[in-house]
Amino acid sequence: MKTPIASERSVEGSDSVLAFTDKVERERAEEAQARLAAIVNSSHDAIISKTLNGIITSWNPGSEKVFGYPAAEAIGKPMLMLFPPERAEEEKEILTRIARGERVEHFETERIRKDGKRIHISVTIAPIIDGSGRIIGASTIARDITERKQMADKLAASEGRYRRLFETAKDGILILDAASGRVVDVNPFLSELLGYSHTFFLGKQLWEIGLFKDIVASKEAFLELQATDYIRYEDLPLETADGRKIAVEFISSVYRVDGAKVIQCSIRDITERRNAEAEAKANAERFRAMANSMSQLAWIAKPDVFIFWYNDRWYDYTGTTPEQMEGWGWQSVHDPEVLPQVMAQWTVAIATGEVFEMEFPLRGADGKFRRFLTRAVPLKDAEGKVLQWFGTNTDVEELKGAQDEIRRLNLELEQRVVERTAQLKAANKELEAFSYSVSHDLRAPLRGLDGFSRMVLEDYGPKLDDEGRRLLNVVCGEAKRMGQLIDDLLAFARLGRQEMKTTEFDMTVLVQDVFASLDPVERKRVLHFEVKPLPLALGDRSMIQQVLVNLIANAVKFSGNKPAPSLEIGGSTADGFNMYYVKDNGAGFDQRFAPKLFGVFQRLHSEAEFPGTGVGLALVQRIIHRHGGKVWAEGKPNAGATFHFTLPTRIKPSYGKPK
Amino acid sequence: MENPNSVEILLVEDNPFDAELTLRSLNKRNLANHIVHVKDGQEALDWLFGAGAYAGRDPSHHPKVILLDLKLPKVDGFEVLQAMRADERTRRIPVVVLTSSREQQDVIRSYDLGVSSYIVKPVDFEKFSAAVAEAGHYWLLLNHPPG
Repeated sequence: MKTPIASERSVEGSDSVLAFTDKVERERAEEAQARLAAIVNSSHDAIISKTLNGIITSWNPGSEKVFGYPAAEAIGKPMLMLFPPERAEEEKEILTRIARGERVEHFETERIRKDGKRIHISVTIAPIIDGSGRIIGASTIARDITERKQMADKLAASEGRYRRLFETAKDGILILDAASGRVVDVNPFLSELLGYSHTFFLGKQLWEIGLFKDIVASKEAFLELQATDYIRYEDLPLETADGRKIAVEFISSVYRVDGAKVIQCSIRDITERRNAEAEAKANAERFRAMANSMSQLAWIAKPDVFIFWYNDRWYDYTGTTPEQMEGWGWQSVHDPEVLPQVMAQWTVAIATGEVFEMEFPLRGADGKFRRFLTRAVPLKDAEGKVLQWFGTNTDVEELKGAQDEIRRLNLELEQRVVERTAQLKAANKELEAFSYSVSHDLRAPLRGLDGFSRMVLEDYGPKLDDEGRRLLNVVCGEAKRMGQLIDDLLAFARLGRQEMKTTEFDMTVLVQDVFASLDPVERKRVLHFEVKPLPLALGDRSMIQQVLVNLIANAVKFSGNKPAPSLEIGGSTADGFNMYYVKDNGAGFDQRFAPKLFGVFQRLHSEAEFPGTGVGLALVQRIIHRHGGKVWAEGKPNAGATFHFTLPTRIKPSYGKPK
Repeated sequence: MENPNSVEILLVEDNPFDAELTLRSLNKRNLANHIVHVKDGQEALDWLFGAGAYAGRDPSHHPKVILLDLKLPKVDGFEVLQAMRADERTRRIPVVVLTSSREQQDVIRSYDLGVSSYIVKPVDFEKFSAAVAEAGHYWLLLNHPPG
C-alpha cells in the first residue's frame, strides 16, 4: 500500500547548501562549511545526500548508526538498497517529487538495516539546488523512530485494553474532571444500569444529575472529595430511569493524569448481594425460631462432635448455660453409667459418618433423668466428608413409660390367660370326669332296675296278677326313659368339648340323607316333602347333620297327628350368613313360649301328647351358636312351626377351636 | 370254684348286679359253665398271671375270652389291658369290653390297646341280655383262638 506523502514547497535559500562567489565570503563560507560538516558528522540522525537518480553521494556517521552500513559501503550505491521490497515504489515517487522541487517532510516509513532488521524512520527529504538554481540531488535526514513507534503502539494497545475494560466492566464507572466536577466519561454498564444514555451524562456536573442530587453529589461532598481524594458510600439507594430501586456501593477517588486531577467513581450494583444478605438473615432468623419452637432439644456439632450450638430448649431442660455446654460440656448432663456406651457409639458414628441413633437419659434442671431418643444426622460435602452434625433429642420418657406399662400389662394378661386356661382345663377335666361318672355310674343302677324287674317278671310272673305285672312294666319303662335322658344329656355335654371340623358341604344332599335315614314308618307318614334350593353350608358337617336330624325328626313327630303332614325345607343368603329353615304344618306352639323352646329339658307339650326328653332343641341351639349362627322359631298352636337357623358364610377363628 | 384250667370266660365286673345279669344272660344259652368272675383289675391280673390269691394257677392256660368292664376299683380296665398286652403270655387273649361308657375316647383307647370288641351295656335288660349272649356265643363257639 502506498503511503501518501505530505509535502510543501521548499523555501528558497533558507536551509540549502549554497555556493559563494565572494572571496571574503568564501572564507566565511568555508568556515561555515566546516561548522556544518561538524554538525552533520556529530548528528545522531542519518544525513544523506543522493543524486536525482538515487545514488548515494554522502553518508554521515549517523547514517551508519541508523542503517548499519559504513560510508564506504553506502556511497555510490543506490538509496533503494535501504527500502523494503514492498516500498520500492516510494523511492520513485520521492525522486519524482524532488525533481519537481518539492520537499517531503516528516514522512514516516520503514527501511531495512544492513543486518536485515526492519526499522521505523521519520524522514525529511529536500532538493539540493546548485548555484544556478538547478536541482542536482536530494538531501535526506532520517531519524530512527522504531523505539518511539513501538512505545506508541504499546500505548495504543494499552489504551485499547483499558478502554475495553472500561467498556465491559460489570461495575459502573464515571470519570469526572476533578476541577469542575463535570462528567468526562461514563461506561456502558452504568448507563445501562441507571437507564440513562451516555450523552445524558457527558459534560454534566455530578450534582446536576437528578439521581445523584442530595445524595453523594452535593458540592460539600465534592469539596470533601477534592480534599481527601476518597469517598465511599457502602449502601446507597438509587432509583433508575424506569423507577426501579437499586442499592449501590459508591466509591470516588481522585488521581492524577499528566498532572491534571481526575475523579473516578465506581458504582457497584449490590442489590442482589443485599437481597441475598437479607434472605440469609431471614433464613437464620427462621431457623432460630424453628429450632427454639420445637419440642426437641437440638444442637449442631463440628465433625468431631464438638458442639458449638444448642437451641433454647436444651438450656431450658438442662438448666445449663452456653459456657457450661460448649464443646464437651454435654457430658455433664449424661448418666455417668451410660456415658461410656454413648461415647462408644459416637466413636463409631464419627468414624463411619453414619446417622447416630441412640436412646439415653439426660439430666433435667430438676436433677431427674428422663429418657431421650437422640438422632444426629451428618451434613456432608460433595466428597462425603462430614461438615457438621445436626442433632435432636426427643423426650421419650412418657412413651417409654407407656411402652413399659403395655409390656407389663401384656405380661400380666398372658399370665392371666395361662392361669385361666389352666383353670378352664381343670374345669374341663372335672366335667369330663363328671360326665364319665354320669355315663357309667348312673346307668348301671337303671340297668339293675330294668334287669331285676324283668327277672321278677320272668321268674315270678305267673304268681303275679295283671296289676302286679303292669306296675313292674312301668318300673322298666321309666328306667329306660331315664337311660334315654342320660344319653341325651351326655350328648349335649359332649358337644361343648367336641372339636369342630369346618368344611363346605352341600346342604341339599345332607337334608336328603337325613330324611332318608328317618324311621321308615315315620317317614312314610309325611305326605308332602319339599326341599327348595339351599345355599352351600360352611360348618362341621356331622354337627349340622345332628341339627337337621333333630329339626326334621321334630317336624315329623309334631305333624304326626295331622291328616296330611307336610314338610318344607328352604334357605337363602344375606349379610354374610346362610339361612335355612324347616317348616311343618303340625301342632305348632304358642309364640309367647318361643324363648323356652331351646332350653334344656324345656317342653311345650306333654309326654303323653308327644314323647321327648327336651334336649333336642337345646342341642340344636348349642351347635348353631358354636358355629356363630342364630336359631329362632315361629309358630301358632295347631298351625305348624318354622325353625330357622343361620351359619356364617366365612370362618371366624374365634369359634374354630373352643377348649 | 371251677377247675382253673377249664375256664372259658373271665368276667371282670365290680357291680354285683351287672355281674348277676351277665351270668343270667349267659346261663340262658348254657354258656356260663366255665366262667370265673373277678371283682377288680388287680384280681383279674392275679388270676391271669397266677399270682396273689391265684398263686399256682397256670398262666399258660387262657380263657377263650375276657369280658372286661373299664371302670373298676384299684386297677382299672385300661391298666389290665396294658399289663396283658405287655406280657407275652397274655397278649393274644381276646378281650371284649363290656361297659356303660359311650365316650369316644374310651372306645379309641380300648381299640388302641387291642380289644376285640367294644360293647356298650344297654339299660334295657332285654337288649343287654341279647348283646351278652351274642358275644358269648361268638367267642366261645364260633371263634377259633390262636394256639
